[in-house]
Amino acid sequence: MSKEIDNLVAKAKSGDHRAFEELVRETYVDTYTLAFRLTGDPEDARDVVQEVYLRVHKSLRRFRGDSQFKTWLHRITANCASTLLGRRSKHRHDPMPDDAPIADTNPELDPAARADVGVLRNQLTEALRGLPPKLSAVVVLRDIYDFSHEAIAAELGISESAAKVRLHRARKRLREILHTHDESEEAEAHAV
Amino acid sequence: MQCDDVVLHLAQAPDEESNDYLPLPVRHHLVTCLSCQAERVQYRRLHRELRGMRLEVIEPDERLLPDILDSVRPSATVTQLRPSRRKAYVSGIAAAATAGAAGALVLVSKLSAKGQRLAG
Repeated sequence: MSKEIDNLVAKAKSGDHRAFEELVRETYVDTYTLAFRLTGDPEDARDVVQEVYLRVHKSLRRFRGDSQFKTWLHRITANCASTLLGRRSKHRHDPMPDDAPIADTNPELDPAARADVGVLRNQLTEALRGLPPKLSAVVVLRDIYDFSHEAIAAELGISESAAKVRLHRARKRLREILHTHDESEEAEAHAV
Repeated sequence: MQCDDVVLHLAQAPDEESNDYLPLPVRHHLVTCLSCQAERVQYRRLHRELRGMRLEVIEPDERLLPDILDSVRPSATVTQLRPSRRKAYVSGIAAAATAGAAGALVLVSKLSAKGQRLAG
């Protein structure tokens, strides 16, 4: 797959528009997934993805291939999402202050789903969406997409130390989710 | 060393397999403290779960791909806006232009009426 992408990148760089379109087809779902994880909103994610490909279209010739194309794409996505969220926060209040409790993870709300193996994953997904965007962005980029602290700082426009602090706070919140999950499982085991 | 201090370190690098990155006092604490050992395991588990999410995909709606391709087409003129928003943008400009023209007409007619009164 990577070789295929590299081929398409090379062709698109030389002006082959069909290759560029193919590149979009091959990568847009992945780009959308990251954009959605960062923005938490399907419409915002769509806007980010469109902006990403416009930027890629304009600057593909400058892509030197030092990193993988997908890594480059992820960095542009992170940057676009950060710009969009920054613009949003200027126009409206962030409804979730930094210390607000995370999303309701009360397992009693959906007892049937607790039997599901993916319940923890679902809880984590919900918890990520419940985090303030500036915390969730850092944990998404670091723990899911393996960005370096340096790359996170560069794309989000913050210092490396701020990125580390945010990451620490986000992980701590998510760890609390795991704790709740374990407690509820234990309680269920005792009940049985 | 207190457990709270140790936990701060544990949250920093849950992806590390060994404890070598931890300061010596933290490592010593971990050897004897079952609670912190359990916490370490939980942070690793959290990290594993998050890493697993990398393989998940979230499917966008079917309009997205055509919209992207449309916006990067070489012949695209208003490339910065997606089609649905482009329509709203063009309508907005048309409405503003109409309102401006109507305003100008009202102003001109008022001025000419005033001019006639002064002349009379």
